Amino acid sequence: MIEFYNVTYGVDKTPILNNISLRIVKGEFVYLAGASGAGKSTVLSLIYMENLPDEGTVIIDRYSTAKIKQKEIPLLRRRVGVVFQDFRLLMDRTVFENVAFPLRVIGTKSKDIKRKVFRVLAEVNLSHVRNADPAKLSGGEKQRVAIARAVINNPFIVLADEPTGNLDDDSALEIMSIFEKINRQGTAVLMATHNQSLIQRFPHRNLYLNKGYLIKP
Amino acid sequence: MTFWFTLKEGLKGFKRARLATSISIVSVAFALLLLGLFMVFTANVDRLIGDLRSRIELEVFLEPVIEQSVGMKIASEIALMEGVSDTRFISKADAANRFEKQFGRNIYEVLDTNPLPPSVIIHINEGYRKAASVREIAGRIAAIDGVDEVAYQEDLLQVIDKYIHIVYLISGAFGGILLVIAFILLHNTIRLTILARKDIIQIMKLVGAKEAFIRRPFIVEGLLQGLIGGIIANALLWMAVALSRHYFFEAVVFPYIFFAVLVIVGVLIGIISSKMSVSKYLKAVL
Repeated sequence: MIEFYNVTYGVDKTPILNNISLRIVKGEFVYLAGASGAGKSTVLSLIYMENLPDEGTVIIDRYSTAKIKQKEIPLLRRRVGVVFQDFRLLMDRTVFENVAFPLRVIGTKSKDIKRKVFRVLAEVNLSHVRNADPAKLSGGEKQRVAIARAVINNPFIVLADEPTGNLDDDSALEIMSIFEKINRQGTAVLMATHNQSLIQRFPHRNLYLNKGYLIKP
Repeated sequence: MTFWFTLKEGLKGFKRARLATSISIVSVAFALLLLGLFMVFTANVDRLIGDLRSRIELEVFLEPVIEQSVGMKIASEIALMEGVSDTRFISKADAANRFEKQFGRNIYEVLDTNPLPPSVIIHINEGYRKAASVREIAGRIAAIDGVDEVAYQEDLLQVIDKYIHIVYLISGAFGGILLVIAFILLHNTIRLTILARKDIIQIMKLVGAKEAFIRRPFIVEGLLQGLIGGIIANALLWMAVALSRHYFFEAVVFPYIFFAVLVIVGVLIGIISSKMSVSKYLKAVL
């Protein structure tokens, strides 16, 4: 579960989020809509605690920004998958290694890594390119690698920051169906997007941000 | 698992940032070479001063009328003194021979009699070759019955004692500066290799890697850079010493422990600076 209680956040005295309160329950699919600069990415960054609120509290699962210790943040991030518009893949490693990376970080055995990566790659239809160099993949394929990496550790939520922003319509639809599939399997999804047609085509609860204010809580 | 992953990542880091790594290794090798050259220089200065001190000898002139057996007894007595390494008795006849060797003329051709007194040549133990110690030994010898005069190069010892501290102080400061330069060079280049791979650090943090886990491969890299830099510096230093021995000064001193010192310094600098650099960067990204 994710809860924001009167969260305010700014950079250099410039407010980015103002008094935001919201709640996302287990297994929910929620859009975070709004124009560029509305504060969507900042909301996501507060969830994986890249940033901490200036005022108010964010509660993620059993972690609270009011109490969390620095050394607990990596443990929180293992419970949260993140997908970015620009994929953020490790371009000097194969598709397999990119997806395996979160497992290596937590010291999973090689045999288990292989089994889990093969399963997740099959779910995103990338088994055939597992040994490929990410640079040679299309945008849609790169984003599927990023999604596979985000879900490999069975997170309770996947945060997606404009995941279709760099993709053509067909690839965007494919990515959306993958998120739908992940959500049907019980993982919550919080997707920041300004793509209204996707929101209409795949309807879910919609939170709308405007200049740092949450319009529809 | 984590150990092998760390080791593999550290080795892969070498391949991934070849240029930055090469620059880093060359930098540390150069800095360590400078340090090594300085160490060789200091070792040779030290040996030179040791040589000068070892040449210090005391000549104890006995009363001219003294019997040879008494003179030899005095020499034996002096030999038992603390700080005295060995003694050699020079009889009146020996003194006449030395005179002839030194000046090319027999003393009896110059004078009717041999006025040269018997004497004792004294060498001092290594730990006592300082002006104060030698003065103290000379004082004790002068107090012995039958001793007329104790002569030695007190001025030279005083000069060595006076300036050796300055030489060691300058050496220490220069060595320290070179260490700092080596550290800064390696630190900066390792920092560049880390900055060149900030993406991987960010992704590691994003997927929940703990800071110690992120740091380890970079420390392995730093260690390897320092190790290779140290080995290269050793090879270059050995060549420099060999060339010096061949073309300039055959007796250049080169203690083999310097090989180990340079490698250890390289490895330590590599570990410390990579740890500092990556920790600093880790603090900057939450």
